[in-house]
Amino acid sequence: MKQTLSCYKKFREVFLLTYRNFVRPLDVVSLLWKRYQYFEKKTDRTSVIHTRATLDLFVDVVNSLTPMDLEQGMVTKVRDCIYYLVNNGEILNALKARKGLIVKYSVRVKLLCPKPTPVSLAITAEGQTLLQWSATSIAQQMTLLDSELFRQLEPAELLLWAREQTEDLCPALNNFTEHFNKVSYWARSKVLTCVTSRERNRTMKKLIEVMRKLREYSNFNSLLAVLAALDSAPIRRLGFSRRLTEALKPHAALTDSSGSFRTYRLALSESKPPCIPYIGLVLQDLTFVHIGNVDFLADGKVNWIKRWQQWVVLEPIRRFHSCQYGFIRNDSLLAFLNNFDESLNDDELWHLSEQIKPRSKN
Amino acid sequence: MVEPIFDYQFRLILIGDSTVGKSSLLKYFTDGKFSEVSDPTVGVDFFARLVQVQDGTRVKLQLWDTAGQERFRSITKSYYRNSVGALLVYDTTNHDSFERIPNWMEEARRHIAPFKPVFILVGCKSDLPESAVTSEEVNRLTVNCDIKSIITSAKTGDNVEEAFRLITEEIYAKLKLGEFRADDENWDGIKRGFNGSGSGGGPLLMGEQVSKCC
Repeated sequence: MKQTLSCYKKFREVFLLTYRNFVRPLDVVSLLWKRYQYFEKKTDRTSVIHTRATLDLFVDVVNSLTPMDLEQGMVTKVRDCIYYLVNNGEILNALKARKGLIVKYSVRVKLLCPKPTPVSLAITAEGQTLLQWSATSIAQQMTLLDSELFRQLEPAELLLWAREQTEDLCPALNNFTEHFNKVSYWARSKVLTCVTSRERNRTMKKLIEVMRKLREYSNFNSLLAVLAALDSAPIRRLGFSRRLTEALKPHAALTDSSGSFRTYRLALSESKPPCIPYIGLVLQDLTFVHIGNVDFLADGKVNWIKRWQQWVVLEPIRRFHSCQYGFIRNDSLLAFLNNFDESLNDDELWHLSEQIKPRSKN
Repeated sequence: MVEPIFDYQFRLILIGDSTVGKSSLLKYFTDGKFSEVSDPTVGVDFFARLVQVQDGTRVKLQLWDTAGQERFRSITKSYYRNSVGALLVYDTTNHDSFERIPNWMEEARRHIAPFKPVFILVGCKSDLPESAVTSEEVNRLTVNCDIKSIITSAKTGDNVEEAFRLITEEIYAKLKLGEFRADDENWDGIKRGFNGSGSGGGPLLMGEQVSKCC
């Protein structure tokens, strides 16, 4: 009995995460609501049990709607249901459903009409350099920025993205990847805009210290963004000192793809929350689960093995979402980082790199 | 699982716009291997396969595929560096994806320099029968860039094997001519295999003997 119950709970979780792949959220909400209204008018024992179970699932479905699910039709429907529940004396369930709706809707508004985060005007970052900040402070502020974007990622939306790969399905993912790339180009620019080779070496050393801290905070996201910067062709071609190469080594192994990224997966599984994983690999796993498995079985039934695999890939994200970093905002450092907006593009970086060390002719 | 014996390992990358069919190419190439694995996180090399070139030398192809990771462009480019070859993939029904091939090529060249990667142009044919790219266009590109080209089918998997075989043969030929060197300590594009000798027909036999006596 206990086992059946835990199986049912698991199945329900998998369903809530993956149903968008075969049925529209509005249809699920409408059908459950219809079922609830059908049973709640009856008074026999079985019907009462069905009423409770249906309402319970209904509230879970509403609470697991993603910001992008909340289109006008959905909002109207759910709002009407909540009114009905209030009139019917189901105050607790109505409140539960309403709470989820409001939280998700405010995220939706934020995603679709983003406002820039205000930075205090009194703070100016002019004339500051990377070297004057401690690696610890830099890594902590980077992690705070990452963590805010990470928490907006909805596992169910990542799943839709892996399937369609269209950008408007998942604006939170766009923001997240955009930020990742910005961090990486910012780090490249910091290295290549150094005037002397001494300054460049010190900057690289600082960035490696930052990486060490990021690793300590289990922020694999920015860790890999900075690693990709130091490993990028315009920087790498300049050649590193032996000491820098040695210091980079333990981190570089994280992007080794052998054994399906064994090194990275092991590091991730050993880290304790709070943690920000590298989302690129999550998307890759979802892509392979998607192309490697059919959606429906030969008899037309939903392929639940596939849904189960998708759940396995996404479950860690949900777990990591529940734990937050306790770092304190440092406004002057954040002003210096300036959301990583100041960076050079590929061509400019190559140009600088070739100014430092001209391209060999052969 | 026992690691199969091979003489060389070549690292290849698949590049091209994100919806051109790179994933299905890979699916056919790996023989649907990943559909049998219930959990992609268990550490199997999804992207590795053994092929045999004409003189019997065994080559392990290690594919650095970035399917799904394209948006993390700042990191996917760093995968380029350790590659000896690149499959430039476009969708035959999508002219834009063909037009961007020279950009992808330049990008790969830049990142792999000073090593000179071998390219092959791979057109992926989807369900639609009509091609948006004419054979003259393809010819012009392949002649200008001095690369081979092939059309594969994402639906049936036709020519997928052939595409990988062509690029492998070409890299191997260049290796024999001395244009590439195995075991450059700063580059993982080509590595020597486990049986160490890695030079033509002989090693395969030796490799088998080694595996028997173990």
